[in-house]
Amino acid sequence: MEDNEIIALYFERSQSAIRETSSKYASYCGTIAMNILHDRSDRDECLNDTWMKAWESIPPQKPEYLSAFLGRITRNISISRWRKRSAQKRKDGETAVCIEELSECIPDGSHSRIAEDLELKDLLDRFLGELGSDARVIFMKRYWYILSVKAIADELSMSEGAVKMSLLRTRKKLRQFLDEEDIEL
Amino acid sequence: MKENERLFEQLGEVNEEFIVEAAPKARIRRSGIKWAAMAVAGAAAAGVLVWQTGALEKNTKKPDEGKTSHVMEFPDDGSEPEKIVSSGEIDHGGAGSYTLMANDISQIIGNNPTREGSSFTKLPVFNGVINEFGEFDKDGDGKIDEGSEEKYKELRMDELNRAASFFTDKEVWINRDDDFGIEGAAGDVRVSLYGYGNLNIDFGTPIELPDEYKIRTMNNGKTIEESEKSVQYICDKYKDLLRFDSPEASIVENYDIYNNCNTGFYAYDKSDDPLTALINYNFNSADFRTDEKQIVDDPDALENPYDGFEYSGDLAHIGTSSRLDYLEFVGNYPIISYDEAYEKLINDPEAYIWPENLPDGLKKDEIFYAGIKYERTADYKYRLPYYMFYVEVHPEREGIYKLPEGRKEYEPAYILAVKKDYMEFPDTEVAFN
Repeated sequence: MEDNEIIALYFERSQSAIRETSSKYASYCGTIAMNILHDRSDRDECLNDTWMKAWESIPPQKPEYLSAFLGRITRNISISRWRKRSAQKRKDGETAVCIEELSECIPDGSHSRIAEDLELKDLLDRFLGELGSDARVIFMKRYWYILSVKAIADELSMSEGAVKMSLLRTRKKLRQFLDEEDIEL
Repeated sequence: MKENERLFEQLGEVNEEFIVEAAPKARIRRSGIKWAAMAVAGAAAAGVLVWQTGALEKNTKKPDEGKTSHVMEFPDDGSEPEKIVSSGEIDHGGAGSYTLMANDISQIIGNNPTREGSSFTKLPVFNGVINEFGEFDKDGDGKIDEGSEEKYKELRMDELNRAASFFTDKEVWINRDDDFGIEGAAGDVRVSLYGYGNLNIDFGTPIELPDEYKIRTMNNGKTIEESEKSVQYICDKYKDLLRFDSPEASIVENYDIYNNCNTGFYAYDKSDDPLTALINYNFNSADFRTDEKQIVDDPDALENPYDGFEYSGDLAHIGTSSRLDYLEFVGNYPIISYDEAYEKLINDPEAYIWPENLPDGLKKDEIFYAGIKYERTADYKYRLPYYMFYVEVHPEREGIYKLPEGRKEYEPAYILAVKKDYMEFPDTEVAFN
């Protein structure tokens, strides 16, 4: 079923909206949840929460990209769950590694102005928009989809070294970009 | 919340187009079987015989069977093929879609058999039979074949066992088997098979190569001719695994900003028949990598991260691409000539399939023809032929970064080879819009 047809079901408040969404996007959203949580039962609960949140949000929202809309919900729910879980034990897994890697993007902290969330989002959009598409896709696969370097390399038919190198270059560029904007996180 | 955690969270809020663009393609469920069946049925209705690779059976053959390098024939009774319903846009996740840095174009151009020209007026087009979930519709009735997923899993297991059997007597244990692919290990040999038949064999203990054939993925220090000899040696040694009759090496070298030279070692099954050679180059190829052992805790902290690794020069990875095994012939399609493709590249910005923006005012001496390349379309439906060029770009002029002395940067550019009369462009272009 096409996305606009699924969205129409939400607007009609038809229960089949959730069934169609699950049928089309369970794998996509499940992948995101699994990448963050590495646990099947947690993944399944996140998926149920995602469908519920979508049901509550559409309408009034009318997503332009249903996949990204749902994926974002799943990512946020999964990260929130990961945080709660990690509070009780050592933070590990790919999510922790990704967050640690992003430390390299943080400016030195000498700036006095702390960016608001909205401003930071706009800056990130601008930065990603100025990146070459290859570097952007690799960066997003790593830090949005939390894919391992090996998974990215396999999917893009690249060596793991080339993926690491691309990520390193992009992290350095992001740090430089944020630094030039004179903001602090 | 720490700064890096805040950055991680805010990344979640970025423009949705970036999220869609980077979606992990191999896991996306598509309604592909429907279109695959329609395309096949359409081709049959148009009087074109549907050519079966027989590959699903081939995978079950024993190691000493199954040469693939016969002359390929794609039946053509002269009737008009059905229109291809696709934007023709390339899946950006595919190989060969990256800016490369080199001293000279000869380092990156590779050995595509059509690089020096070809006289094709028609070329075969393929589409997928098996979706990412391992389901297929072999009889083309538009429905997933009952038990197909189990059957496909069985076939994939056969392929992993076959691959592992060349290196170990141990049994393959499966670590993972899902819609992304199948991964297993036999002793310290890891074997995996992903979506479209890309088989990877990784050796925990690298296979020692004779001194004269040792190669290094990073900072190889050998000439292209020496590297080609090494690839030939590996191909000869594993000819039963690769099933190549006449292996031809293709070496690609690419520098990074730290002055490291990254070498790609590829091979394909060459043939005197031009079409067979082209198809093999695109669908029956292999790549080899050598070991890299991390010797410091945090290589990224070094000025040159690759100083944190050491390399023995032995073989650590064999990858094979048998994607034709998982594809189905749709029909032979009329294509534009090389001259027309070149003209479009120079004068028709709308004709670029990828990248979206090339620099204005392309200079003829900065354009290099790399041959005809099949790429997966962004809608996952087809493997279409493209004329592939490399265009010299100048990042320093755009203020992106300064190239090291003597280095040049090249961007691949693709022009769709299938004549547009045979294309029908749909409204939606990606699986998740």
